[in-house]
Amino acid sequence: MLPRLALTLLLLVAPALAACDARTPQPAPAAHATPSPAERVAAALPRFRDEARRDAQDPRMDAALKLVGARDWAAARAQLEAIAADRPQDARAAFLVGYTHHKEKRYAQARPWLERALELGPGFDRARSVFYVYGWCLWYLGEVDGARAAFEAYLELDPEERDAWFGLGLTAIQQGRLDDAARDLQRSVELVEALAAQRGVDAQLAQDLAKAENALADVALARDDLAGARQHLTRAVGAWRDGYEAWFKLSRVLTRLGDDEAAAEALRQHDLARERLGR
Amino acid sequence: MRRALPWLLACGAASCAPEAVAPVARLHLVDATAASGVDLVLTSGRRPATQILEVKGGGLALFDWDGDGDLDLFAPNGATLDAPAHGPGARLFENLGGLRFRDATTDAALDLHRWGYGCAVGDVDGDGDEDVFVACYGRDALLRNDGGRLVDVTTSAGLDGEAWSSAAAFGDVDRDGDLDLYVARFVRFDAAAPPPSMTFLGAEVFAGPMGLAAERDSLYLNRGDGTFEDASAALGIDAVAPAYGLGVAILDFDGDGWPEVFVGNDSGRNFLFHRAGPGPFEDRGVASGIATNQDGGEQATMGIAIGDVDGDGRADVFTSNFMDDTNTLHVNLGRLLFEDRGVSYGLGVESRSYLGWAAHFADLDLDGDEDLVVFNGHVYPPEITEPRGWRHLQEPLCYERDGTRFRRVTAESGGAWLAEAHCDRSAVCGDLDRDGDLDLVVAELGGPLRVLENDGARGAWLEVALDDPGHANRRGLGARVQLDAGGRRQVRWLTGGCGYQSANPPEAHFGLGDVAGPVALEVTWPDGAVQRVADVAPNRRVRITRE
Repeated sequence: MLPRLALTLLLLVAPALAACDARTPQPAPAAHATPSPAERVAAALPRFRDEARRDAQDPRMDAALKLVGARDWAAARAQLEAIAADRPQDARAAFLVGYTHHKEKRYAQARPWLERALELGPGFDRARSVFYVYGWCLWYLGEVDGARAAFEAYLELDPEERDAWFGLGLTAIQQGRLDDAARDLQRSVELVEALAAQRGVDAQLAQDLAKAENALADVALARDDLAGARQHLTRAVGAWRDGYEAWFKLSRVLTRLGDDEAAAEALRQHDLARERLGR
Repeated sequence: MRRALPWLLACGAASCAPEAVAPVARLHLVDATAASGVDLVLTSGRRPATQILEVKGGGLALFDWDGDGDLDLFAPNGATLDAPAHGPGARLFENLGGLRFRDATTDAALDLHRWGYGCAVGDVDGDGDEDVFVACYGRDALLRNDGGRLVDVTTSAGLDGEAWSSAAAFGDVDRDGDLDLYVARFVRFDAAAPPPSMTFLGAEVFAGPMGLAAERDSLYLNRGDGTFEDASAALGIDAVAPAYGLGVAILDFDGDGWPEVFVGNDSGRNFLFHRAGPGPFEDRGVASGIATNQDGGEQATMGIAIGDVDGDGRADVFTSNFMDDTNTLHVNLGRLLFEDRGVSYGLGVESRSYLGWAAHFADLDLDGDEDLVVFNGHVYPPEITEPRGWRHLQEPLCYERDGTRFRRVTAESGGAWLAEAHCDRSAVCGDLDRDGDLDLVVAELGGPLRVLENDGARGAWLEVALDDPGHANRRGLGARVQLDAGGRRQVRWLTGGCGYQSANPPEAHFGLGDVAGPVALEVTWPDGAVQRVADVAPNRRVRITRE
């Protein structure tokens, strides 16, 4: 669930225009009582289908982007908020303020900025990423309908993004749409495998494959398909041995299947993986 | 609700004609506090809270204090950091009927001014009335009910340890017919020398529980002579590393006749103490799958609700959790195996923005399946939460069943109480006005108690109380009550603990929807004995006496 796309887009964006002094941040966030997130997405999507529009950029944006690239979220946000205060119509500044909040798990604070970016955008390269980050933000806020709408909108603009398919699959599990979930997650797996075939398996692809297989196991478990769950979880831990969630789930499945010895080993691997990750 | 219903105090014969009811289920409650006479504003430190001691409780108890057949309300109340052993005092409200209460604190000679958290209610001396245990910061309290006088017998009972006890539950863990006591404890905390603050998601907040030393829980066995024996070491409770206990439930999860003790722990793995005989307990939390969520993640378990969500007759466990985490539904698969199915039941992701506390399964709309209500509110004060977009005050979450899943009830259909944000902690659930549906009393941190009257339910119902004259545990705490009607089975457990730090009445309440004919009951008493009662007419309260 790493918004890799947003990071990518940041590095692509060109610097821009005249300098302005930083001021006290004026988030001017959009109210989120109404319309609903899904309605916001629906209203914004037609505009985002034309991503050719490029708004003028603030000259401070370059420095802010470097801070984002360095994952110095607080410092980046300070600069971005100043830009947003001076340029209330700057979609990219609004988006990036939201993004920095999102990266620090301040989802409630990220949300109004992302909604503002939806209202203002597009206007910058790969502006469609707003839908992607908004989708995850809503997911973490527990707003499944909105998250689904955002992921669907993003995938209309970029159907090859495996992590959005993964997110869409999660919303389907939460909503009890198990067939949809299986389809969406399987699509995520296929995209990972296609990339792996092209460029080889790196750590990120391995993790993405593991989490999609892990979620497919959830679908199987919801269907009481223990054999299927075991298969997906075995693939998950095979792809990423530090995936402690999958190890734990595998141990539960093996216990239910009566293979206590293998279950104990999976649980041991879960503990080891957590230890390796310092959890 | 104020509709007219027949009120029959005894179990009738099969020929009793049940009242015809309109089979329109509607879940709707209204705030009836103003006219109720319940006027207590709880004390729990000062606002804004500066220490963890001020944000974790406390509980409530709903029980028949005076033996008149209705449910009276007990609130232990809290205190403040500068005088933690000298709070404004516990209060007792006598139920006058018609959802009206009067303050009976003086009548009960109730003189308890400690910082109270968890409540447990049970007839510890087998004299037929209900006694009260209050888990406190500092010295706990056992209040023996002597004909309505709540007499502090803590010291003579051997229960006056000094610690921060957070929750408690009675249950007959040794199956000798009387009620034993499990006390969950939280952290070591010295109000006179509180720990320094810590950082949480970039915010400076009060310390704990992480980083503070956990207190050990205790299991006390009832000797049957008015005293208790600390059996924590002998029965294996001390064998586990102490954890941050906040909730406890005692019942027989695996149906082997020996009760388990489930302990919900904050910021760590839950315990499930199991034994299949008279030997020591063993913590089967991890092995059973109930210690963590489905990913093996340790959670911050707050509230506990017990219900049979999948209709297989086994006790499933819902637990509420901290913000940025999901509430959890551990479905009981049998053989002491649990699986977290919160997400597939529709209870998972939506709860991430909420910090949950009291939780209850209850058939609020009397349609024949149990709904779920969860009360919420943040621990950190608004000065910290609001700038970060975390809501200090949070509205309750209420779900009704929608096939195999739960569907959230909106304020538009369920009532304004679902849109009103509070900083809630505990809640008790029972039929306060004896009209056949379930009402609620909710305790807000530092706020007024709220009485929520059920004014929406329309289906048939049945309320079952137990009486076991041959044992000290007369009300059958720990019993399983199964109802079979129209080819459908429902099960309730008379469970010590549950909710959040609270004691709910030992009554099994069933909604029956449009069932008009007699139903069958099966009671599994705490010692495993099974008793069946056929042809019970609905829309009444019945008391089943053990044969």
